[in-house]
Order: sequence, then C-alpha cells, then structure tokens
Amino acid sequence: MPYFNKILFTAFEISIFLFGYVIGRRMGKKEGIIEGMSIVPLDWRKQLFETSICPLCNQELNLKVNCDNVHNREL
Amino acid sequence: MDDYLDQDIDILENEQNLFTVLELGVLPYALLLLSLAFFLDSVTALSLFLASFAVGMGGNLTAKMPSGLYGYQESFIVLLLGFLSLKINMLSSILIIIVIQLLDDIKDYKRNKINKKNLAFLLGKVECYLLAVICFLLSFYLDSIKAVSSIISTYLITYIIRLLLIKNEKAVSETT
Repeated sequence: MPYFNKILFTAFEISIFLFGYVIGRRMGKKEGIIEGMSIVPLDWRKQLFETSICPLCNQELNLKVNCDNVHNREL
Repeated sequence: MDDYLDQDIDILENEQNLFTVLELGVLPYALLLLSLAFFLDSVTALSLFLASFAVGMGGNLTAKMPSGLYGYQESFIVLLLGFLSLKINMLSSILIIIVIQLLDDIKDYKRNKINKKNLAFLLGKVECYLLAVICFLLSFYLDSIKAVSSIISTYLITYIIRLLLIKNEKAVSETT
C-alpha cells in the first residue's frame, strides 16, 4: 500500500508543477506580447534608417520628391 | 466507431481512415468487438465504452446531436449513468480515456495545428503531457491492470489499423 500512496503523492506533485507551469506560461506570453509591441515600432524605424526600405510597405525611400513626410528622409 | 463518425472530415482532409477499408462493415464489426469485450470483463468494457463516449462528446458545446441534446448534455447524462451504476470503475475508465485522448491530440498536433478541438493546441503540448501523466497515475492508483492494459492495447490497435490501411493502399495501387 505505501507504494500506491507514493503514486498518489507523485500525481499531486506533478499537478502542482503543472499549475505553476500553466500560470507562468500564460503570464509570460502576455508579457512577451506587450514587450514585442513596444519594441516593434523602434525596430521598424531602425530598419528603415538602415536599409532605406519601409518595412511596412517594402517601398524604397523617396529622396527626391517631397511627396510623403514619413518616407522622405531629407525633410 | 471513431473512424465511422469522422469519415466525412477524414475524406475532406484526405486522411486515411478505417472506413475506406471496411466501408459499411465498420459499425457491425465495432459492435461485435464490443460484445466480445463484454465476454471478457463486462464492467470494464461497459465503463470504457461509456467513458470514451462521454469524453468524445464532451467537446461538442454547440453542435446538436441526433437525440436533440447538445454534446456536453449527452456526455453529462452518460457520465451520471456510469457513475451511478459502475462507481469507481467509471472514474478509472474516464481517466485512462482522457490519457488516450491527450496522447492522440499530441500526435495530431503537427497535422492539424488550427483544429479548435485539439487539446494540444488549446492547452499546449507540455500541459497535455503533464496532464496525461497525472491522469495515468491516478488511473493506475485506482485500477493498475486496466490502466496498463489500456495503454498497451491502444498502441496495439493503432498498429493493427495502420497495417490494414497499408495493405489496403497497396491493393488499391496494384489495381490502378
């Protein structure tokens, strides 16, 4: 019988671990999304300045004509 | 029985199914095998069948069944009947069927990632593994022989079905 009690205790231990894992994973996912959302605009701006290509529309920067305040670098 | 019920979905997804091999004979053969199981151990056979029915129907929250009830309502009635008549046997059967369902969902995770009913997709793969281990341990605690034999027979049955499907596929390719 002590052998069977050990099985029950192991199941209880794993369920506590599962509880912690589930909460940690869901909270981590939410935090990750918030962090990602705050990093993405900065990262896009960095990419735009480095490559001169808009990461959103994949268009190259228009350097000559002042047609777009966002995409015009010289302004 | 599961292949018989899921034949339309499997045809749409181009999946292999036992229905393509046995065709309309699936249901009579399933009933015959269930009757043979009753010869061996009636309580275990009945509890496992009721548990698999309850677990299978439990996920259907919005679909109405031919009986006019929702899937979860049917599942609840079957569970109630099972617990009233079979008591602790029913509990161990439900636990072992949940283990089999979880393992099957983990196996299907790569194949149908966006399936809403897949528990590995809804809960996560590691959660499913841990839940399966917990349910197996509890089932082992309640009825060790049933727990071990169910897992072994699950793999045996899937192996036999795979052999049948391979044989059928070869026969089809030879004729065409």
